Amino acid sequence: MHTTYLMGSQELLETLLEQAGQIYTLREKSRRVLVESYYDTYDWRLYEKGWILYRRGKALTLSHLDYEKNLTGKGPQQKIFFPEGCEDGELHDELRAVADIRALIRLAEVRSSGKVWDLLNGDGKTVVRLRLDVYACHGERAAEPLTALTLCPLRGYEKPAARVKMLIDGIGVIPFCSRRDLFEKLMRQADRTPCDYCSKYDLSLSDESTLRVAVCKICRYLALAMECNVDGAIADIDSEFLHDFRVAIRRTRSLLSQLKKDIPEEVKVFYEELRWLGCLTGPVRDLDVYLLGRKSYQEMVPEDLQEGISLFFEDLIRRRQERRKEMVQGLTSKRYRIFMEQWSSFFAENNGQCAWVRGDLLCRDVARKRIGKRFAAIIRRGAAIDQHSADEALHRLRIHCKKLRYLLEFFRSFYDQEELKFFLGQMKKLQNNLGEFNDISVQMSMLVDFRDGLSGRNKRSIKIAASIGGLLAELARRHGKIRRRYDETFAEFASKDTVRRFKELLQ
Amino acid sequence: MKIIAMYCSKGGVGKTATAVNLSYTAARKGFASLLCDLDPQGASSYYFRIRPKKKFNTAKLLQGKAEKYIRGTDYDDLDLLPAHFSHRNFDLFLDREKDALPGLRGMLESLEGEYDLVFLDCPPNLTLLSEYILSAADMVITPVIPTTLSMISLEQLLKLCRKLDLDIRKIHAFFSMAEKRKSMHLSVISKYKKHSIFMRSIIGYMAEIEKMGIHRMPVGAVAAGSAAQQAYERLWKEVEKRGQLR
Repeated sequence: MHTTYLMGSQELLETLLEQAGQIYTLREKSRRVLVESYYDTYDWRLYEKGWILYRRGKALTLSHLDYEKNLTGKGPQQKIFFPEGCEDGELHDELRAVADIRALIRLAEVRSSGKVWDLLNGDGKTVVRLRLDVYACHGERAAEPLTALTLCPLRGYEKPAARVKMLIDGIGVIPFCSRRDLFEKLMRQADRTPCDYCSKYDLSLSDESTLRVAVCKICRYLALAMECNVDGAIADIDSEFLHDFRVAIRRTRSLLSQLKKDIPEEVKVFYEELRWLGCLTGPVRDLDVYLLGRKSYQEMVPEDLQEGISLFFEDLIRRRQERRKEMVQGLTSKRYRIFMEQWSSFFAENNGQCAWVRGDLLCRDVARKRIGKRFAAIIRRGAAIDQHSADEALHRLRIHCKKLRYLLEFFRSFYDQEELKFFLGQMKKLQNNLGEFNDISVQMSMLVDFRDGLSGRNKRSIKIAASIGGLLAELARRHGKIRRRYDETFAEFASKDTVRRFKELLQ
Repeated sequence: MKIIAMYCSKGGVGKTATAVNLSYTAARKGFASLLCDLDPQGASSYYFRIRPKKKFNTAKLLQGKAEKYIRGTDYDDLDLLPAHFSHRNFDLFLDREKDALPGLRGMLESLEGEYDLVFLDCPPNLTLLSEYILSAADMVITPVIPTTLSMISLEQLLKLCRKLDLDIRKIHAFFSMAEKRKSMHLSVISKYKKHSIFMRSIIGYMAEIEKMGIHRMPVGAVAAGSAAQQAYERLWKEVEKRGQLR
């Protein structure tokens, strides 16, 4: 196993080589300059699974940081690419599984040069190697190059490797550097920190937080999430930037509406802007969802309707381009910039300018009341739904569940994590049922509108209309099936055990 | 894992040069390779400058404990199990312990998963060890100097395979140390080259190969683009294809 050390000074290296030279013959070789580009998704999905992805020339390597595993293959040489762009093989499969629909973005281009010293025994045989690597990140910021020394043992020559290791340890001041450490240091050279962005909501509040402190902290966190994603959404790098941007807006609106009695009047000024952002970005997101689901739509209809599906998606793509123009105009406008400045300033840590009548209340007390009320509403409304209830009742229940979920996410740090995990697991099943039901309702509505909006009775429109007819039939079948599962799903959620455990959770 | 034996009952035919240069070429092409030097003369080990560990001997090898005696060569993806002088008594060991031993293949089983290819540099004789090697190997590469006597040796090898009830299609011969200026060589090559047992590649007599003993490294390590290395690369390509190694 190779061992890497960070080299602080040239003198130490010279001392080491001098000492090693007294035992072995040193043969110095220059290493050719290598340029490696490192990639990951915006939210570090590869790194979170212990992988690093780098490209050297045309060859891509996916290397595990914690154990010896490398997958290689060919892939695109652009700054941004998707797993689909890689040639078939293990590398492609692993990237697809981990990165999913996210783009792989170049994090840094690292130039490495250095030397290798073969340490030879009396037969002129290499018995151990020392490799010096000097890493410099290519870019605007001229960071100090990173120098690493790696001890490379050869199989069957354990004693020489141990001897050289003792020499290194004897010099004393060179710290051991794991591959993970080295990677993190390289990323810092490029002004990045692994896992500096995560789409999961992960903010803790202390038990003693007042309502004011908690709300400000949450809103700052969500504003930062918006800022992190807006450029990617404008550049259309992948669909998740816009999705995460919108989720941050939704969470913010949900927080403010559920605590509207407790927050200052001044905040209400921003409601309209948040609503505007929701409407500005909604159409593009809806179209993204349909485009991502293209394959499943194709699978819903027989062969003779496939052409109509293709034409339908061509129209969707065109529509998306138009909606994107409008969205980008809005997100690059003065209106957006002013909103974000004012919004951030309002919730800044030191802002004591507005009066929060209920701001000094203990946040956990307020949270308990809101969460308890929301849960009770879900139980009541959910129990009232039967086979004769209109679809609208299920849609409203879905909204209540979403609101409860957001509250539990915001205030999660107040509760026992295991019990919360259990409850969220139970709620997820209900939310999935209601979510699927709603998704299909929305899709059917969109398809009907699209079909009704087709102009003329030309061949193209007829083909599209026929395919949409096929889709509607299949979606209606699925809609009914999901609706029939509701009773059982709700009963499981609203079981005596779940209700009891939930009430204990809130104590 | 595939086992490729370099075997010939005659000495001085270029068997060790073949073992060293083909294993080196295979490693360069990305195959994780191990060369086992079974010849007590230890020529392969000499070329790679590797001595055996003090506690290594034939008994350890035959007990399937070879792993810890493997040593890395100076070249990526190529390791060597060096020869030991006690290998001169291989047959004595095999004869004495033949019911107790796992066999040559069994010895190498522990290496499955570590290496793609195991090359065996075999001693030039017709012994019990030869029989073990011929049985265990997936491919037997046999260099043949293009002379009448060499053809007789080849025929003996095929006869042995039939006696052991082995598939003779695992035998792959090639003309080695061929010299264009020798009419006997040209005549033998012309007569036998079309036989399916012979690979098309011919390794001519080359000073670069002779000088391996001075440089003590594979020809490709001395000069990557040399005529000798190119010849071995062509030979390797055929070996890869015939053995369906990819």
